[in-house]
Amino acid sequence: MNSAGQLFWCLITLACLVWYSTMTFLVAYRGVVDIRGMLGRLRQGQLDDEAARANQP
Amino acid sequence: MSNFSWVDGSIVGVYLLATMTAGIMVRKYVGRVETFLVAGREMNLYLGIASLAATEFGIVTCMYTAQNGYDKGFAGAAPGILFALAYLIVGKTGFCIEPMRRSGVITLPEMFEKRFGSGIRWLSGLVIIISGLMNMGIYLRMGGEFLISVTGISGGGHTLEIMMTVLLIAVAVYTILGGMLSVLVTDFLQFVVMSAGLILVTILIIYRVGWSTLLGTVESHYGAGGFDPLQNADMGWSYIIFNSLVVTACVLTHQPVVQRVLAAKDSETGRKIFTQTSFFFVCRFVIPGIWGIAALASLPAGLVGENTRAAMPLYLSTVLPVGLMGILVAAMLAADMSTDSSYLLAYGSVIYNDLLAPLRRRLHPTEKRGLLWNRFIVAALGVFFLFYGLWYPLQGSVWAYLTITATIGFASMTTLLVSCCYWKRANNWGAAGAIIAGAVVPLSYLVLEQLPATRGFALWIGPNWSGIAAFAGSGVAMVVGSLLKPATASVKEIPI
Repeated sequence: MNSAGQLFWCLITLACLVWYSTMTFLVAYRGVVDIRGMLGRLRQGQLDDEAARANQP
Repeated sequence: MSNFSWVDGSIVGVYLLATMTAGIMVRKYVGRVETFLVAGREMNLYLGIASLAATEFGIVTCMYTAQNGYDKGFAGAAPGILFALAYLIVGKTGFCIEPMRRSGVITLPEMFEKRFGSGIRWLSGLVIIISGLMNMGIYLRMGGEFLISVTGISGGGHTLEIMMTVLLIAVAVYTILGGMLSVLVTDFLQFVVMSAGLILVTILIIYRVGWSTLLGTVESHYGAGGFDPLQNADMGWSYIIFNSLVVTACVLTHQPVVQRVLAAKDSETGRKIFTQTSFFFVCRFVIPGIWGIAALASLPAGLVGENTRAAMPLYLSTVLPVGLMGILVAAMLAADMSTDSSYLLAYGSVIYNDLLAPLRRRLHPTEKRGLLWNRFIVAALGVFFLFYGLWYPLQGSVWAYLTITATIGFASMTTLLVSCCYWKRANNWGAAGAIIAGAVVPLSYLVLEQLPATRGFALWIGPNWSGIAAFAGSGVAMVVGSLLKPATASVKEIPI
C-alpha cells in the first residue's frame, strides 16, 4: 500500500475541486465587470481619435 | 453506443450561438492593429485569468492528460504541479515577464531586436512559427477524434474531416473579425462553460466509480509508481528535469501565454494573472487524469488496445447520461475553441509583426491594410492546421510529441529571453548559436524516431534526455557565441 501517495493525491483532488469551483464563480462574476470596463475604454479611445481627426485643420 | 441525444444537441447549439454572437459583436471596437493583436492592452485581472486558463486547456490537453492518467496513474499529473510552481514563482518574482511587459512590444522577437538586432528578430520569429505550427498541427485532429468518439457520430469515411472543418470555421469566423478582443470575450464565456462541465463530469465519475476503486486500480496496475513519478518506470528524474525545463520555458516564452502578459493593463496585472491562475494548472492535469484512471478501471484492456488516448472518450461516451453529455460536449467545444482561436492569433501575430517586418518597413501599411493582412494570415494558418492535422501520422504519447516539438522553440527562446533581460554581455552571435543548437537537437530526434533504421537508437536516447540536451546546448551556445564575438563589433544595444 502507498498510503502517503494515496493521501497526497486525495488532498490534491479535493483541493482542485474546491479551488476550481470557487474560482469559476469568482471569475464569472468579476469577469463581466472587466469586459465592460475594457470595451468602455476602447470605445472612449475611438471617440477621442475621431474628435482629434475632426479638430485637425 | 453513445448517449448523445437531441437534448444534448440543443445544449451544444445554445452554447455555440451565444459564443459566436458575442465574438462577432465586439468586432466594431477593432479599428487598429494593436487592438486586433493585444486588445489595446486593456485586459484586467479576472478576464486575464479566464483567458489564460481557457487558452491553455483544449481538447488536446484533455486527451493527453487523460492518457497520462490511463498510462501512469496519478503520477501522470506531476507536470501539472511543475506548471503551477513555475507560474507561481514567475508571477511572484516577475522574472522576465516584468521587463517584457514594460518594453511595450507585441511579440517576443520584437523584444529580441532591441538587444540582438533585426536578423535575430526574424530568425527567432521563424523558430517560434515552425515549433508552434508543428505543435498546434495536431489540435484540430484531437478535437475531431474526441467529439466523434464521445457523440458516437458516424457519417461515412469523411466524418473526421467534416468535424475538423466545422471546428475550424466556427473558431476562424470570430477570430478573423475581432482578433484578440473577440478571443478575450469568447474566452470568458468558454472558461465558465468549460469549468462547469469539467467539475460536474468529475463529480459524477468519482460518485459512479468510487474513490477507493480509482486508488485500487492505480495500485494494482502501477504500484508505487502510479503515485510517485520517481518510482514510475516510464518517468524518473530525467522526466521530472525535462518537464521542469519545458513548463518553465512554456510559462516564459509560449507565444499564446506571452500574449496574455502583453495584453494586460500593466506588468503588475500580468504578474497577478500568473500567480492567481497557477493552481488551475494542477486541476488541468488532475481532473482529466481522473477521467483516464476511471477508463482504466471500467474498460476491458482488449477494448482499448495500443491507442490509449482513445480510452477516455470511449469511456465517457458510455457513462454520461443525457443532458450531462450535452454539457460535456459544450464544455469541450468551449475548451477547444478558446485554445484554437488564441493559438491562431498568437502565431498570426508573430508572422505579421516579425516575419513580415522587413516588408512592412518598406510598404508602411495603413491601420486598415494592416488589419486586412492580419485577417488573411489567421485564415491561412487555419487552412494549414486543417491539412497538417489530417496528414501527420501521430503515434504514441501525445504529451511526448508536444513537449519535443515545443522544445524546438522553447529551448532557444528561453535562453534568448533570460540573456536579453539579465546578461549584458549577450549578443547576436550567441543568440544565433542558441537558436541553431536549440532547434537541431529536437528536430534530429524527431527524424531519428521516424526512420525505421534509427528508431531503436532514438528509443535508447529517449525524449527526456533529447529535450534536456536541447536546453543545455542552447545555453552553452549562447555563452560561447557571445564571448567569442569581439566587443567592438557589437550590435547597437537598446536597454530594456
